[in-house]
Amino acid sequence: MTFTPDRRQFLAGAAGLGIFAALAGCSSSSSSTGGGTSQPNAAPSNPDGPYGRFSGQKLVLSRWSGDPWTSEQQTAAAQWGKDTGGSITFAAVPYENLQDKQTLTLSGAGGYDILYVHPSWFGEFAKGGLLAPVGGYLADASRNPPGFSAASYLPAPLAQGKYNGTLYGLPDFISTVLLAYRKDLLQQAGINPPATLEDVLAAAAKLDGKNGMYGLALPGAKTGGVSDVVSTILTAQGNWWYNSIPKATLSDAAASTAVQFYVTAAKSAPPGLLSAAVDDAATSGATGKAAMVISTSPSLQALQDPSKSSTVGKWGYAPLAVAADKPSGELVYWLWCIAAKSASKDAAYSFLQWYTNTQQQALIAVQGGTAGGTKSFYTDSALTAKLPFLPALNQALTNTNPQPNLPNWPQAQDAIETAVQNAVSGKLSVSAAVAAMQSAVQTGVSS
Amino acid sequence: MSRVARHRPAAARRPGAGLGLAMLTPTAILLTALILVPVGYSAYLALYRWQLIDINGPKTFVGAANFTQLLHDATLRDALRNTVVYVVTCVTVELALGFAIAVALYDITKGRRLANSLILLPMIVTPVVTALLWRYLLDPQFGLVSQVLAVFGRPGIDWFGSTSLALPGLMLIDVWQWTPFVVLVLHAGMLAIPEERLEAAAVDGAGRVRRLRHIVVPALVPQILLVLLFRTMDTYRIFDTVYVLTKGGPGDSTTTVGLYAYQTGFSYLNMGYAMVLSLFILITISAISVFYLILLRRRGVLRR
Amino acid sequence: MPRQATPQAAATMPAAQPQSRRRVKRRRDWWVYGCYAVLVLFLLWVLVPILQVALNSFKTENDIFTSKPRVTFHPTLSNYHTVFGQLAFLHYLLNSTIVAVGTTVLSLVVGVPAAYALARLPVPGREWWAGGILFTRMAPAVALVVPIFVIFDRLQLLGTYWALILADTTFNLPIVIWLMRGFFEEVPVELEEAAVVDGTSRFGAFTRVALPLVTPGLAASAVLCLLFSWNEFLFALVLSNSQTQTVPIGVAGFVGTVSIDWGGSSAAAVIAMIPVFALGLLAQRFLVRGLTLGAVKG
Repeated sequence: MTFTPDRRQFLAGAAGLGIFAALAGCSSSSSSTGGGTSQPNAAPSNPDGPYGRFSGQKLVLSRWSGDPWTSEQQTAAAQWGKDTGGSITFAAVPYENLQDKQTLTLSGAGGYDILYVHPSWFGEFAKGGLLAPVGGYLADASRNPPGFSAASYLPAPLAQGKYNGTLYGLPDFISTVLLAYRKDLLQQAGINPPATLEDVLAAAAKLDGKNGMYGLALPGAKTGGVSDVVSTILTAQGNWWYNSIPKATLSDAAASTAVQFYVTAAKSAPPGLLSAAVDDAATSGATGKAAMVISTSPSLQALQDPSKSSTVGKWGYAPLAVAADKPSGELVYWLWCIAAKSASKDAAYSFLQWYTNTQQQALIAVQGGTAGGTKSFYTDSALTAKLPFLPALNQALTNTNPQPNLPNWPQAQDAIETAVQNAVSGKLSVSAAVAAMQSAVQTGVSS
Repeated sequence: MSRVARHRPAAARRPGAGLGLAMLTPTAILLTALILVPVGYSAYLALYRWQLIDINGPKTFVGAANFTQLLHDATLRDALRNTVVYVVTCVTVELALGFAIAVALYDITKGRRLANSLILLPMIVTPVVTALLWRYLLDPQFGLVSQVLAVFGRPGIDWFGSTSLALPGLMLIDVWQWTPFVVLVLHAGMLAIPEERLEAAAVDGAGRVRRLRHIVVPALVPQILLVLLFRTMDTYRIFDTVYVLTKGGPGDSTTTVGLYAYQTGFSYLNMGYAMVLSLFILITISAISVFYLILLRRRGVLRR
Repeated sequence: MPRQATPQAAATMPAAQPQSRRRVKRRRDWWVYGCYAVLVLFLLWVLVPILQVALNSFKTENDIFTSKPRVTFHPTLSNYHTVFGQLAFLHYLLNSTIVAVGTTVLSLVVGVPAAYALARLPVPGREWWAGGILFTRMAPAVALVVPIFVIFDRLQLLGTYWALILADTTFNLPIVIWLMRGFFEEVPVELEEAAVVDGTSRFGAFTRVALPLVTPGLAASAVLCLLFSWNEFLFALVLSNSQTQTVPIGVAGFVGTVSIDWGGSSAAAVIAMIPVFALGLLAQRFLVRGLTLGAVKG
């Protein structure tokens, strides 16, 4: 059977293409946002429900796709929709590309109403006028549950949501770097739960090699985990990368302690340290290959998940500390913001207020391994029972610095992590790595 | 061939040319509007210092500052070195291996269709999954490779955490993923070789290897050239797998120019310099391609 | 199959050369077995990782991360539940299919005539055209992403299928043109000249004579267009919205902020492979056709 197109087949083909073209063109118009009616002050239909009625309003929420909590947030969004009459669609892109996608969409024709924004690009968005202020909504008593105001949030994360004194975002996804240790193994070896980093290293050295296990798993890849751990160690010594000017304030001694910690820890770490991200470190612990894990609290949730962990219930948690009575952490959080170009700001605020409040946050906390941004979250005893690391998180949060969020920081962070990697692999001495970190910080604070 | 065409009267040549230009017009429009204009615009944007957020707003003019930065960039030198190693190794291995497999495919009698389809699978798998898959396979603790080694009592090899093995690991993935492309193109080319020429040569007593050397390879030159050009272009700009697997690490051992350009623009938010880096990539690839074309044309094997 | 013509031809040779026939036959058997062996080894290398992905799609994370190879494990369909239920994966598949088919058709319709023109028609400056077309394929994505975003934003095509189809076509065109040009050059000129002398137009010579003889090239081009478009990530990310997102973005979503869903991404990969694999099998039919015609003529 040969392929010889004759006129009829040609026309048929062309007609087919035409239909296809028409279909392709019209079937994909972006979901229209706005529309509908808005009654922001309507009381909630059920207690603890969202304020306002927004029947017919359509909102688009921008976040990353996949873990954690997409399905929980979708459930919450569906619930909100039922209670208020509006609807929220999720526009989720892979996490690595979230900043770019949000930047392009907000700077271009728009299309997002609610945004999940990371601190590192929050300042840029606020400066560019892409976000709507929320302070006014928060102060409006008719839109909020009785007694709910800015004071209901933890002061440190809420302060991070301000730019030039105006509040643009509400915080959640509170997490930090913690130590998780196998209570049973430490007890067997007669070691007390580690109180300082030196204790951690000593315990790791002692447990390394026993029963085919490694002493300590921690992140070593250039994906941010290294920076989080190093930052925590700096905070524990009362030091930080830069001050508010911003001017570099990194001390050689503090940096040297951090680098030395990594170099020593590498000796008791599983192979593949330099390609391990935070979840790899947690997996090593969960599958019973490492006796201790230092990682971010969301990733440590894997230790509690029966589908991922064969060591559920065997873990104890502690904050990192250099001096025994000074626990420390790095404040990791995300901000919920409203797009300046949104046509449904009232509806958006209604969702944000309801979602960042304790009740909703409690529902997702267990799944995601993070804590909410409101004060009442930490006084809920039922939660503390379900989240074994919550006390450790609480302690860590007493002494924190927020994740660096200067515009030039990503490049600096990359260089800092490279320096640590080079120190671990022996390419650089500890002092040379510290020098590299100092010059990286200079790049980071420059404008 | 063109010899015949030249004997035609001049009047009859023009209709052919007209039709030819008409056939080329849609291509010209598409490519100019969506490639040449954007490249020109990028070159223009390279004169500014800006970030993605300034895309529709005002940008700071810096003239040639971005271009001069190119000359002092040490990371670029490292990236170039890594990229050259990557390109040369991958293209050579893929071409050699692809050719061998294409020949093997050609000479078997049964199961060719199934083999053809199965061979395409590495190209079909989503690149993100390919990267994750090989990270898993080469994982020093859980990967298949390490498990096999463990049977022999050797410890697991840490591929992507080691400065010396990370780049070879990436090259392994590239060969796995793209050799099927070479096989596909070369095999299709072999199928177009007229049977009779090979039969006649066989009858004349030429062995397989002689037939390969003197009939198959010369007939495949357009396809070989295409494979060389496109694989070089694509390996030179490699970015997906590096980004997912190592982000240029450990240290700087797997930073390639493609990754560096992307990171400069999208991670370090220096779009102006990223445009300059892209132009640099474009110019160097063009130079290499011109080199290929001249090399293969001078050997007289391209029919013109 | 065409290859079988040769043994028969050799067998019908006059007995005057029995020695060479026997020598050729023995070498051929050894050679063919060698080919099979090479192919099996290569296929093993190709398929083992794929099988690993397929296996992982049926495992829980516990089973994926075991350090001792375990032949048995508890299979689970939970990953497939995640893929189909939680994420709108069928939606992604549909989007990817529309874009892939659209760009393949458009690339072939635009590119094949262009390739013919460069191969056979006396277009002035042919070499420059070919070189220019190749040049457009060399531009790195970073240089193109922002300007193309701006262009489609102004044209209000963002979030439509056309944006992606057009973008993918600009990457597919050069390869279609260069590949098909090679095939068109192999078609014996005399056949076309004969057809023109017989009264067909030049365009007719293209459609009736040249085109049927290059079906292996067409099939290969179609497969390549489908594959490149199916797996294209960066432009799909930038030019699509939640309605038109394609498979690679959906799969990349399994790489979360704190963990990678290995089981889920494997399941998604398996599902994503099936349509394209089926299309590839279909295209294989055409990778043989052209040859028999070529053998009959000439």
